[in-house]
Amino acid sequence: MAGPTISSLTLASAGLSADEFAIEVSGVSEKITLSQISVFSSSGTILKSLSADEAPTSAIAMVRVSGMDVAGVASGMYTFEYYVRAQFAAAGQSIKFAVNHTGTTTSFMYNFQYGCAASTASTGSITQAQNTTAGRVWSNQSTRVKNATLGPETNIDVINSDILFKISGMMIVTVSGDLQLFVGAESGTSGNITIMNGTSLVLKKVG
Amino acid sequence: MADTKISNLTQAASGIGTQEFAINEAGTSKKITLDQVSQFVNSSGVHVSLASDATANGLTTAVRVSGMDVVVGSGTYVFEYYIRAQLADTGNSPKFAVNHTGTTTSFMYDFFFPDAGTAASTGAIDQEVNNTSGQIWAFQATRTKNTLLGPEVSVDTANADIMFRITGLMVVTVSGTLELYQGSEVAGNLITIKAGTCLVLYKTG
Repeated sequence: MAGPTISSLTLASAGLSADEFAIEVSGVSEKITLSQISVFSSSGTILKSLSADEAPTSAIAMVRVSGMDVAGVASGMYTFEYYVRAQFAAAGQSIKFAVNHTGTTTSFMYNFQYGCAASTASTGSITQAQNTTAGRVWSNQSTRVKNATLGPETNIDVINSDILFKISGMMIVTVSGDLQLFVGAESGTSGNITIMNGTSLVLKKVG
Repeated sequence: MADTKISNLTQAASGIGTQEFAINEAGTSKKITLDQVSQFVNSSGVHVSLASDATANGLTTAVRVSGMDVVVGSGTYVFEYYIRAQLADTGNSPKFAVNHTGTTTSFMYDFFFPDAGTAASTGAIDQEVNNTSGQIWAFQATRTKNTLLGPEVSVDTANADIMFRITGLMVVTVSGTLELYQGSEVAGNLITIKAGTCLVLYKTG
């Protein structure tokens, strides 16, 4: 490659995902983007988040959180962690979640977890503000069937305030498909639920 | 730049932050350093750990575990702390807080510990529980940054490792430092945040 020395070039202000590098692959000159280098370096970790709030819903039927779709999750073994930031318009409302893969999976499990306001039992009273010396029960709902609806629970502590939910799962994919998150309300009349911007997914290809 | 195939160049002994690469940025030839490449790559997965024990702390007020500081710019992040701690007294317990010194529009975290209770969370922290019924994974939580969670009641064994977890989510609009704080329930009863304590921080958006 003829041209100026690298040191004489203008220094980029920062690395951008579309920046291209010249490489050689088995004697053939090719190019690679910084995004490709990042994906390689992150060992197959896919990160996703909502950049804007989803439309509020009070539908009992499950609604896809389309901004969290990951298209083309191909054959392989994966773990996933959803960090869901949600707000409720009514304290008597609670939430349902499901995770789906539109391709073929031979194993699919996930656990939906939330902070419960009780110390002596799991009661379904969800809280994000809890600081007693005894601690409180971290509650769980779980399934081994993809697209199974987990929830509802009973209520939440404060309306129109952030609550953090976790969904931890693993799957073995044999035919590529989309990974999808679904949400539903306990009651169609109790008030809206909003999946907020910042809701995140860490999807790791482990095999 | 010499007109030489890449495969014919001398192999660098190792990667150095000041090494420069030629790039094409939107049609313009520029250079980029390995430091810049590393910064971009690591923005989607930062791992911080304590190389050595933090100074033992027995203050009831929160003290920063400075070895866990990490500068975090604008964006959406999730974080997981894996805290290895030892307490000098079984009648003592820890307190923890997570802070970001910049501006955040959302900041939530949950602090987790293994509880000795089976029918209730009791605040009796126990790193050796193995009943057939299982024991409760207890939590304390907040939606306000720099809120000190804890204390609890006790720990099972003095001067032995206990693993605590903190899970969180934040939306950062002005860059700042992500900080971990620790305090003690009982004044003068020492708590040591041990080497190996680590943070996994993902920039998800």
